[in-house]
Amino acid sequence: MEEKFIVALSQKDDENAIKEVALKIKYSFLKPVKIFFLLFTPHYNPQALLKTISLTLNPTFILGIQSPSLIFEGQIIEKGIIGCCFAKEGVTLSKIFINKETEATIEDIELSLRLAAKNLKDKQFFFSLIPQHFNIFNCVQGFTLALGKVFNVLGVGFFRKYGNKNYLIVNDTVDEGLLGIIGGGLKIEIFRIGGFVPIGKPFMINHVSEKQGIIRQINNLSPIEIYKHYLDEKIDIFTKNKLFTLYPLITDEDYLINVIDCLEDGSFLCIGEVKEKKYAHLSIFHPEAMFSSIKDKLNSIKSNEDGILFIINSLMRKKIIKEYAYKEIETIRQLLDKNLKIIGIYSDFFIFSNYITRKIISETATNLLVFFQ
Amino acid sequence: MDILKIILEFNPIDIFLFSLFFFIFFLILYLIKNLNIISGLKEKINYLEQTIQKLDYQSKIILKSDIELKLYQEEIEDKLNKITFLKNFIISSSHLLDKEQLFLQINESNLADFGFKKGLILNFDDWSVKTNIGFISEEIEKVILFLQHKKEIFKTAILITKDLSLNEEIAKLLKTKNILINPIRGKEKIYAVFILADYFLSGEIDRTGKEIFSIICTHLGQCLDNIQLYEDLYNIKEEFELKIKERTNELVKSLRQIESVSKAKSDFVSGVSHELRTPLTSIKGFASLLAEEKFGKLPPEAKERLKKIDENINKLVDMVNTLLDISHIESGKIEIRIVPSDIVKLIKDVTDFLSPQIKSKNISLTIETPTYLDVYMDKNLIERVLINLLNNAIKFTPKEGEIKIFCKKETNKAIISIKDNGCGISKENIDKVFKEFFRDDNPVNREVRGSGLGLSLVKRIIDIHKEKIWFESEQNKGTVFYFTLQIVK
Repeated sequence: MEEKFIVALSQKDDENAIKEVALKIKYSFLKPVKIFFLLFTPHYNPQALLKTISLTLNPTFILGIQSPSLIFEGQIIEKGIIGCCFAKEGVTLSKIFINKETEATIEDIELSLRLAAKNLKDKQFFFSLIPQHFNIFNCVQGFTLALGKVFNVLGVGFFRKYGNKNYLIVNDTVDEGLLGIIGGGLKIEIFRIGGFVPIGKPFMINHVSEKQGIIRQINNLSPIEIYKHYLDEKIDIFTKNKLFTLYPLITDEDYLINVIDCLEDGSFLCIGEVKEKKYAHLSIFHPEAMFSSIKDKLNSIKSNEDGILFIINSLMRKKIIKEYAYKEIETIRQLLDKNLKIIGIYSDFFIFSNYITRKIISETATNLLVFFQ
Repeated sequence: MDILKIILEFNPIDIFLFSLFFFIFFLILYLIKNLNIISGLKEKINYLEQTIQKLDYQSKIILKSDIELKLYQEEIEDKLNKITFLKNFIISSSHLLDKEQLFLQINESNLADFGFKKGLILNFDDWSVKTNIGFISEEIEKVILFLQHKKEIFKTAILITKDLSLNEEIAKLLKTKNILINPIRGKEKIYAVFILADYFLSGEIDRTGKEIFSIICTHLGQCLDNIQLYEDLYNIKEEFELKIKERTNELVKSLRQIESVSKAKSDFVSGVSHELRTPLTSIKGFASLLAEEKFGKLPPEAKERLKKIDENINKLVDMVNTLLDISHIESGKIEIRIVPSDIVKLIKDVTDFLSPQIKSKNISLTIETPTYLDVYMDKNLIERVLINLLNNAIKFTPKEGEIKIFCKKETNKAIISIKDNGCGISKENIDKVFKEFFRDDNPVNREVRGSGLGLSLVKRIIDIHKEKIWFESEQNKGTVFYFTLQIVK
């Protein structure tokens, strides 16, 4: 039976890697390649990758994403290239690519997205990549204004450069910028894998600066007091080594708010849904919770049909959970049917839409499983 | 009806008071009853609060233990990373034999592995910069100026990292907190000073970091020692090769001179011999005619003297011919035809030719050869060899002595040997046997005169066949001469 989705990996050096991937795809996928999806680590020259793909496969749509680490089947790949293409009919894609030196405004993003989406009849999902010099809040606002609440939104983002730039390949363009892809014709399901369990008493987030992602007060006190309460004499070493990410805040809706830094007044600079009058706990990583979450979520996506599981994992999570990062990917592979291919990337954060509220949430330290069929 | 009557007899105020009494009474009863429930709930709330407090306390313990564990884990990982870095650094640098290449091993990437952003290596002799990662020229100047005055410390201190005051002073100079400084010391000298600055990992530089840095410096010192040793060896080799080249040139020059002298000598010998042969032929001819009394009768004394003249002229002619042969061989003037030919037949012919001399001394001759054996040879020249060797054997073998001639096959060679049981060759003259005009001091040579050219000619003939000749000799027991010839397949 012909496979709908073809994936190939190469960990060779330089151009040999992309040649290997392109040839594997060419000889496994016997039709002309229309849409080619490429993931690569910063070890490779994106211009050379584009040249080889164009010469070997000549696809009509190329999307390449550079990531510090990749996921292929049951492994984490620190250096390599993954190529993917699929034979599903009726897939439509439209893209925006804003490669400004300075960040784009909410209006820029909204306008670009509206223009890109207007001619698409079947709009089901929106994928974005947010580079380090773009404000997450602006991006999320722009996406929300342009797309409303009907889309499956997901995206990845970076806080810092990995390599010279966080390169993207979009058709014949190789650059760094804000990417948005609106598409249809693919069945998409998104699942979150957590593994963090609440610990201690709940507290109330009283005062925040939402646009900047800053928590100003918790329980009417400086936010740092919450960590001081639990860590007592350990607080100095904790703040000195900036270990906040080890114990993120977890909201009643089970979303994580990760503290990236503590400002001089004790306020927290965070990634996540920062809202006032919300109850939250401190949380701690618990491997059993992670494994049970994986089992629960994967039970619902077991399928006899071909498909791809695209994992958007967090670099912060990898750092926090250490060796469990590898076990997590292995477990996902073991639990999934063999006809489902697994590929993925690591990013600093990601965005996704809540199924119930349809609000776009930004988060890090969790793992996003996006299932394409 | 009675009760109604009684009630109606009461006025409304009494009824109200009565009802109020009962209401208060029941209310008190109700409150008494609920007070127990409230106190029970209060107890439960207290218990829950205590539980929450306990849970909160346990959360504290969990978080504190977890953070301790994580810090230990980080520390172990950090140490492991540093050790891995050290291992990789040692592996990548140990084989290097070039100083510049070695210093290039210190780069931004492996400094980052070690937790530093900046690195500087200064040559100890002239403070020139060998490696610079991240330092600006102003900082380098400051460091050099400072270190120039502290040079003596490096000569005495084994590990400058332990000299905290120096570290602090440089750190102050560079406006940074965490720095490491160490000399790169070889076996006999300090090569350089290595400075690391801008430690970006969390916390202070720990003991492991300092020790690993000192290991890196020691390793660099050893590598530089090795490179120095290699360079010295290389220079010696170069010098040696140059000398060999010079000597070879001198030798070639000398050889050419010798060749030229030898050629001149050969030409002279050849010329003289040639010039001598013509008058000698004439003298010999006339002497023999005189001796045969073709010009009239001679007195017996004159006849006897003429016979001696004739004998000596014969010897002189032999000598001149041999000298001419040698010089022709040396100068390449002789035409050599090495072709397949039967050596066994040649041996027999030579022995037949010399059988009168053998018989005259009553010598027993043994010949052991195959029926025939084709070898590559110039028949005329090898005949000379056999004649000379057999002549020598006859000459040195006493009367009724024994001569043995063997011809054996050994792989692709024929080995021909001629053995006598004469007086042998004295040990001190063994090396001179094949030299021209050499004659061993023995009774036979004293009695029988010779030119001392025979074996020299033999050696030259065998040499132009590219074969070997050698001998074994024991004084008073005899001598065996061997030579080889290539067998025809």
